[in-house]
Amino acid sequence: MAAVRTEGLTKVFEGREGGRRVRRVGVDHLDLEIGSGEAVAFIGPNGAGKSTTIKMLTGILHPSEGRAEVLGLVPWRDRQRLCLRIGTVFGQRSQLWFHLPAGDTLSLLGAIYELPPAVARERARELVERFGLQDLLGVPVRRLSLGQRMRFEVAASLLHRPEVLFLDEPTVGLDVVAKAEVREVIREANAQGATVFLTSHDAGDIEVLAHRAVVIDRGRVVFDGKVSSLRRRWLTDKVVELRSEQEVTPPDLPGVTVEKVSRYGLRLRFSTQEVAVAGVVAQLLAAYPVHDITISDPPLESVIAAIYQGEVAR
Amino acid sequence: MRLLRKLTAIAFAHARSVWAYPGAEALRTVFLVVILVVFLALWRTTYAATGAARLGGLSLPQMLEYLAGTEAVLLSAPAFADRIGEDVRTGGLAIQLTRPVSYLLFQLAVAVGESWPRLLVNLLVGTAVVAAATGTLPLGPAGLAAYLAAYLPAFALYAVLFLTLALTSFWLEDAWAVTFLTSRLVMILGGLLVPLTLFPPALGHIARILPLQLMVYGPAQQLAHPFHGLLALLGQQAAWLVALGALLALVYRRGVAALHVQGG
Repeated sequence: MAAVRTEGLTKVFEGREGGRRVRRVGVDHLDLEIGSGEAVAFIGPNGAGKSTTIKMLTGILHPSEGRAEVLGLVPWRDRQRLCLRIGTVFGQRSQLWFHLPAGDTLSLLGAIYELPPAVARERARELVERFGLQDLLGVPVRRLSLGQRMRFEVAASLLHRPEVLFLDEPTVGLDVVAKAEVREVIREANAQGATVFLTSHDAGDIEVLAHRAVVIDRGRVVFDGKVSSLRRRWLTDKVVELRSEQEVTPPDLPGVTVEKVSRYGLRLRFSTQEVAVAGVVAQLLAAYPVHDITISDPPLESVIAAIYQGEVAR
Repeated sequence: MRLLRKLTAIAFAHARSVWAYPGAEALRTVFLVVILVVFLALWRTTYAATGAARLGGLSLPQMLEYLAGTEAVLLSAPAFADRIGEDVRTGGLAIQLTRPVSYLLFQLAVAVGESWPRLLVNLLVGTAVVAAATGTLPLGPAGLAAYLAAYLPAFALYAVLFLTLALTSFWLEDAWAVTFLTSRLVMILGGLLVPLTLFPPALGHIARILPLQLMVYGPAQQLAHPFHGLLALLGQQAAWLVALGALLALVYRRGVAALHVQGG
């Protein structure tokens, strides 16, 4: 069963700028289906329509046309019913009450999510222990550090055991340890059956949390496949690292960029759309007494960075 | 029942958060005391100059208690425009709308939580100032009961009107000007400083037609004349509540459909 399904989902923003009527397409006939229990990274350059899509799927925005269902409900029509079954983390905004102690905020959310008090207490206790937040329950949210607050944010989003988790930059600003903790808890929720819909600039979030990646640009899906195939699909660059038996001088090969030269080593980069791998390797083997050679894809981080910088196939 | 539990929890949480900043709350109360002291001097002079024992049907202690009652209402009034405007400008509305509770009811519960404790503190402090200044305690249990009975619908009316105005932030991003003007109208035509009985006839007529006096003058008048005309007042408040409530629902439906939530 699909947890999220959209058909032709479109959002057009209309308004006035400098006295002129302007019309901007935020999301353009988006077709998407996400199965129950899937973990999907939804990525694309700034302004591609990621947040607008999330806002329509959580019922915040009404679409201009098209259809969407989340857990069988139309988000903008059944927003309150849907909200009982989904969890959201907007990394740059807080769902906690800044003036209240963190523990009181969790109790209040328990009431808002219609959990019986005993169940809310038990769930809060489990999550607080999971994140090691026991000593911070009495501290007003406004006095928590970013890392502490984000742990509470994620705990708050999981309090009612949501069936779908919408995560918009859930680890933004966190240190390495806090990121690992937050990712682990989200992974556990996914392993227990929650569908994860993730938007993040952090390649680590995508690599650890998502199995499938959907890339959008200008409101349209331009890639939908496994995270592992993102690299191959997205960057055609290859990196060659060569270790020579003798001292090296940089080669002059058409279409090949020399990234680094050391006494016995070279790092080269080229695009497979311009130069064949076999040709480059053959020329290197002919030019140097090779001790070792490796050919690799660029790291996923480069792929994500390229996607977010708008260097996507258009 | 679930909804009531939810709204009660929200109201209590916000009542607690009011006291997270005791300094700011104390300053509000000091402001009330200053206003009452200034008007105490003004009304004393007026009563002395006219030689009247009663003005607009009120003795001096009653007039001051009336003033304490109206100031208590307005100094504890919820600041919807600030909150909703900020939600719209910062994109925080996205968080509010992903909670399983009606945005309007949420705002009303927040308003109850923040306003009611402030009202009680303001009323007690105001009454203490009046008692200390005049040597009499004009507020009895009957006056308090009648005032609170009229205050509840008055509060609802005020909340519904200002919530409707604040929702114009959905289009304008900032409803400050609209709510500022209306709040000044409430002060003038609602009878904040002078009871409607002392208004010039033409202005008094206009003020009585408008619902603004039902939010301020109506409940404060009950302090001086407990239960006098209370049923008629409640009836008028209920009728306006239905009309303004329908307007609020309409504006909210249109506003949410037209919403552009800021930021990514």
